[in-house]
Amino acid sequence: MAMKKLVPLPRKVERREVRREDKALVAANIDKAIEKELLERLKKGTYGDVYNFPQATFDKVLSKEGVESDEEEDAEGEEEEEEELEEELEKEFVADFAESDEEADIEDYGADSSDSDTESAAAAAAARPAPSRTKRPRVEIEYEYDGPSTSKVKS
Amino acid sequence: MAPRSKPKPGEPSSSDAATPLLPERCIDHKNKNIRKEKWRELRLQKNKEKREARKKRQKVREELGKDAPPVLQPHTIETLRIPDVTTVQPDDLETQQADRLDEFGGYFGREAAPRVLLTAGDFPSPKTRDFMKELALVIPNTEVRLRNFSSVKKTARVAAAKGYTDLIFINEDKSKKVMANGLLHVHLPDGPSALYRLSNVKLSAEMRRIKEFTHHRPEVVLNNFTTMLGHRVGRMLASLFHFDPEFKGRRVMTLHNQRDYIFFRHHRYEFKNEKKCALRELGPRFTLKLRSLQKGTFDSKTGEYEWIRKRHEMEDSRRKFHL
Repeated sequence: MAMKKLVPLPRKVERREVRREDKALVAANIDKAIEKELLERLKKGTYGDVYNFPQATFDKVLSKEGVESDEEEDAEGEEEEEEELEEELEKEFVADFAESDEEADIEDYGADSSDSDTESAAAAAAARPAPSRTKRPRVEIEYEYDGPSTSKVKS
Repeated sequence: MAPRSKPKPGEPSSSDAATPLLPERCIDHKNKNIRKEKWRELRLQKNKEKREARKKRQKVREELGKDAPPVLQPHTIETLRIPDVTTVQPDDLETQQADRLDEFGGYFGREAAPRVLLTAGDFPSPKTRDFMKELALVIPNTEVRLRNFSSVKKTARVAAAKGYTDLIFINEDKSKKVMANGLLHVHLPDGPSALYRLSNVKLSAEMRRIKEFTHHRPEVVLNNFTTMLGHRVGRMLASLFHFDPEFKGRRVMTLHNQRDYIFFRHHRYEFKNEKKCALRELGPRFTLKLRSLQKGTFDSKTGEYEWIRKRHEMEDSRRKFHL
């Protein structure tokens, strides 16, 4: 069995190190540093074409939601926005794929065009309920049909 | 007035580089009242000069508008840091060559995918076990094993034989209730061993947000590793992660060095637009402080140390950092 060596840790040193670590953490501003680094990488192009932010789509997204609701959502509904953005991106992705397919196979032109149409239609349909979903403040009246009514129905 | 460390005789004073040693030493007088008065006068004079200089600068800025000289930045520890001789320049050919030939050249040249073995002391406490489980999720291709009382050297030999590329030990301090407080990272085979002090471990269970661990390979961000030693340590830590990140997963591991403390963070990022990026923290976070770096696998008696933190020699100045 190996003998374990106990290394003493002087108390003052411990305290000093902990304090310095806290101060270093404050000075580090880690989140900002990470953001900066990631944005730099985006600019340099290390992500390739995964993210395309042509100004047009960005403006479209803004106009759909409205800038204010976007800020509100930042605090609470980050996930929703994520999903929406993902759908948006996916929509572009899917569209790109469809286009490239179209160009490649001229023989299957008929089949591909119909496929791409259905795909883009499906994506558009998926994207359309998304913005209405985020407009939460408006009250929606839902009528549900329950089989055996267990709760009192208020007219 | 915030207390500022008085410059030691011989050390450059922290005020403008142009002024010589301050005349403060000339004011020492044996009589305390007179001494007090003299110090007070000196302080008032200094403040007055400062104010006047500031007014002048503001006036100049108003007059020139855009052409004015840039605003003076306040002193911070980072700006006052004693410049290290071994700072790595970004385009240094020598470092690039050395990088290709050192132990991590293989990793960065994409020769072998990292396989990490994670283990702890003899009877790890439940908190340490949780931490190890999380680390295993966070660092791809990691396995957790219990150490059956074997020594570090033996474990290293066996792991190297089985094809692991890295070995991580988590050391615990059981006398206090604090859990893991040390981390030993041995790069196999024959790689350098780095001993760190581990602190401020926070598990993802304690984070407020929902865990979203995916299995995509993460990106690695290394911040602020400036000196030669820092560069080496940074590469060593980066070699734990797979070299081909999957950008689809949008996971990023950050190792941020600040004043010799390496902060580890695990985030999910999302680009809102070209200028903003949203981060959501997942996973564990911990802090490392390098204690020693050894050339071969860990050997406390006959090993060759590349670097040890010698407190009395290295930490006499608060403006001196090594990573």
